[in-house]
Amino acid sequence: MRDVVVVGGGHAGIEAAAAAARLGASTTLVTFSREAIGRLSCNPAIGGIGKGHLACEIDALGGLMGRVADATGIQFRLLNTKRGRAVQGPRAQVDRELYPVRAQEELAAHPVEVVEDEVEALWWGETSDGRKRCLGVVLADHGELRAATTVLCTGTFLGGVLHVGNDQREGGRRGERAASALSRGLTEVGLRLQRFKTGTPPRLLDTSVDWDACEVQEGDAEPTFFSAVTRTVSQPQVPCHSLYTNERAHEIIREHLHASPLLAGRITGRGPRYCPSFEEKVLRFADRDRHQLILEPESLSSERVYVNGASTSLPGEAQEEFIRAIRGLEEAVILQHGYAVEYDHVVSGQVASSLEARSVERLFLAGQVLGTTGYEEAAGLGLLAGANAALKAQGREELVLSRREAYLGVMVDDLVIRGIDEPYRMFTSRAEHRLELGVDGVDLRLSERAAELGLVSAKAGRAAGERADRIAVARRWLEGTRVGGGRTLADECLRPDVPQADIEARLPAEAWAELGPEKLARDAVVMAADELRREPYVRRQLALQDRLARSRERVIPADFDFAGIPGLSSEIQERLSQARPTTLGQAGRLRGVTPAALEVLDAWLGRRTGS
Amino acid sequence: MSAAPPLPPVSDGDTIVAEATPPGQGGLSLVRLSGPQAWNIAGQLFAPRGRAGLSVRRCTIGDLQLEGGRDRATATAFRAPSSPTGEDVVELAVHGSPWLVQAVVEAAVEAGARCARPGEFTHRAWRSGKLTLTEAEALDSLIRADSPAAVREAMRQHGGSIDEAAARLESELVEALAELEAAVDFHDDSQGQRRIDESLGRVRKSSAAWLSAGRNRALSTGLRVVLSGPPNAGKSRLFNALLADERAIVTAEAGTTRDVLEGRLVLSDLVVTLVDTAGQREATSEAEAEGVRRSQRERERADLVLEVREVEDQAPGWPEGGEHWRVLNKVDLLTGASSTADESGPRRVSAATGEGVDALREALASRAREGVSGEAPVLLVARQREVAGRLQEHLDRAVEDRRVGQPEELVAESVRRALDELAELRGRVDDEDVYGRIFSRFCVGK
Repeated sequence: MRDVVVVGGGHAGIEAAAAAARLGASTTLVTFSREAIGRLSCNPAIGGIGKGHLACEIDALGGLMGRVADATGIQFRLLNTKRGRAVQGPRAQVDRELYPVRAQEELAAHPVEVVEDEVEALWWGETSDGRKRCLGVVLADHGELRAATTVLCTGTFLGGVLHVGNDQREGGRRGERAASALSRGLTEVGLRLQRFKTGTPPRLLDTSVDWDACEVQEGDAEPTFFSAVTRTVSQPQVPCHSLYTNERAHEIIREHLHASPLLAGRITGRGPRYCPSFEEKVLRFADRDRHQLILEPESLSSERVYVNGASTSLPGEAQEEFIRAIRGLEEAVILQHGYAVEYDHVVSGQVASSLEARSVERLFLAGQVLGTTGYEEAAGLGLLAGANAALKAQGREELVLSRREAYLGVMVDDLVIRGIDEPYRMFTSRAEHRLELGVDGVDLRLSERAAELGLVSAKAGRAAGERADRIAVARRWLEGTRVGGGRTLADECLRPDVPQADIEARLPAEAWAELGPEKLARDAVVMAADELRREPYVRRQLALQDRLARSRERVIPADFDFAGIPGLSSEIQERLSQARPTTLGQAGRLRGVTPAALEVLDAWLGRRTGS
Repeated sequence: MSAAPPLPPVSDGDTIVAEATPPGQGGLSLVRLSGPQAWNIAGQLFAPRGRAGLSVRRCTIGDLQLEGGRDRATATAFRAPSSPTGEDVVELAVHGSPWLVQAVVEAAVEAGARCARPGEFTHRAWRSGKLTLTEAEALDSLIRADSPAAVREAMRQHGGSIDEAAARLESELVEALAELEAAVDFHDDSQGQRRIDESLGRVRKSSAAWLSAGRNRALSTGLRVVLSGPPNAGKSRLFNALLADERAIVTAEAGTTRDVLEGRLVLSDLVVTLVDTAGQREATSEAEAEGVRRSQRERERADLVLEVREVEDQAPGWPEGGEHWRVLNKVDLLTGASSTADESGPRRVSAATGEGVDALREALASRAREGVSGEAPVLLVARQREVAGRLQEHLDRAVEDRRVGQPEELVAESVRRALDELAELRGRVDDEDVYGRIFSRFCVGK
């Protein structure tokens, strides 16, 4: 029997399979099509603010995404350079044709068996104490596939329905079938499902665009990579272009609203507010006379252009009319129309922090099936679910990251504890500790632990340790170097009018000598100075948290019964029962749980434990 | 209930009992039971006349069944959640005898109730959502209010005015935060930058208005006015004159006052606490030295210091720091036109003849009133003042960080801290949807 079976070959699936394999678990990945592994179903880009943070964390945990994106990147930009380092996020346009090929190569370097088939059902049984346990999956062609643990990464394929205008048909992605039988299987084992929707814009023929009418957006001269191992770009670099819609284009949208599957009520799933369809933009921002669109090259070897900002599910003719009303796109040829996709996801709160389903032992879930959107979110969850599935199969302790360690920890906690009611995308503002979660420190926070587990090499873990030591030395020098007036260089770091170059220039030669090779030394000084700058803010936050949360560390026993506590509304009882917080503090982060409700809970816990 | 922290330790599912009216003899006393067993326990010590028994929100006449005998009483019963505490409640109105009340409470305890801790009924009311935290605190202030204006303010807050004001600030801060977060997460630089500064400025101004320490104290503990100055300036005589009472010992000898004396003056329905202190000089005895030290401490605690000098005192300079009024005493010793007051100069009084004393008292009254008029709620409780102090610090920092051009994510930290404080002030964390605000205003996304 194999240790881990992973269902799905998207970004979650490949990270899950690869992580399980890195931990030494015998692993099988089941996918409809080997060819489709690692495909980018929507925009041809990786990263951004928050998402770039996730991609870098995935890299620090040995995941594939960062390396694949770096190797196939055709434009790199670091976003938020006007702001502090903590919130700067790398982003790359990647080559849609090359990306899956490269992902498949990376995956092939792991001992993962790939099986092309459709999963028809979950294979499950009951333990002697009546709990459901997942035993593997049942395949259409290959029959039963037994595994110690199972990871479902089915993306938008679960009960997927595609909408273009009045047309609707089953499917997970354009031209690919949906996994509908599995949806029923999940309901059977007691998982509650809900509909979400997302959309994608039309793709244009590049020779049909009037490029002179667009503004050019170049990438950074010095690219910022996702992976710590990448040294240089691998592909020729190309620009993006931007242009604007206009009143006439908006008018065309308004004329065709009756044919919108969303507004006609044929789509019932909830969509992400941060990624509205163009129909929704026109309706919601009626006072705006134009919206920006970005034309992104899909690939160096294809003539397809992705129209970022124009996600739509209107009928094909309406899309053409709308696109051609835009200056620069008068002659544009649409190669593929935009569409909306509705799919099932597992209502949040039904998995534990290890991403194992609460109602079914040994079944793990990751990616869009948990209600997230985006490649990076999916990949991050896949990596964690795959690692935990392997650890469980091996009888080892689970891997759970905290909110202060990683955006990955924030995301899991949000999904598991807080709960979501729209497709979940990462923003830096979701992380209350974001000042400490910059991409420049992912190795410092994650590498040693990843090395201990076996997710990355021992060498990578050691390198992070050495970097941390060097930063500590730099900090000592900043704090110990006097600059007159009873001040030190550390004090100077706190002054916004003193540039970093000034700080570095005033650091004595002995400091540089002790810090070693120039590149490493400068990195250490930059990191130490930045740490000093955010420290007062971090300290104030922690002080407040301590004050508010003194009692919040109280542990809630795993078998505590939330039902029937007088003084708690049945809605809150139900939410608590579902989310199963393990501490009072966690309970307090649930939506709708008031301080008063916490007090009641605290009182009942005290009663039970007799304190 | 004590002033701070206002809440007793967390309670459990017990039924609690206590006398609700002040202890002592009276026509009637009220004993209140609250908790799941309230009806059951009441049933064990109170026998309704007639067959109906206790019924919801009805007053039932009956007899107390106590060890020492029977006595007539009435019971008013409530069922959760429609009760003063949100739990099952029975209120027994018994004859106002301390021993009878004690017997009833003991019988209730015998039947399974527990004596309520101070403030526990109010706490339970808060816990079940009958009151907000600030309303509960206002209720406490109402009970302890010692001047008509303080009663009015407490009643206003019991009606929710702090919550409303805090909710308004919170809403404005969330708007500012949404702008800041949109800038960070969607690098939307174009919009809202001015709005951020305006919002922060407005919130800081409101919160500063809350804080202004004197106004708060004028209501809760009264404006504290300290008489200070060199020995024999006539401070004690002025103290007596203002109080219209012979409280302080007055002699012609310098250094008579060694201890600190307090007197309460109710001026146009506000309380002013007058404090007489020892004169400031090189002490000639140990007792006087201690008196001088104490008067120094009093000066530091004061909301307002009356610097009293003899009118002919030629010593240079008046003390600086804090709020000071200069008062020249003994103007009766002067002759001629020089006694006409100069508007901006020192106030001229004669404690001996009473000249100018009424005017000084009137000035104190209008100073005490200064903080009380206006829209902003007054923070009566120490906990609320502490929170508001920290709120102000965070807002000051946010405004300063904006001024020096710190990036949005750092400003956002201070705004988040300010929101945390407001949540603590209200004892409630609303599930404020910053994203809702962002997405309703900005067209973000791909």
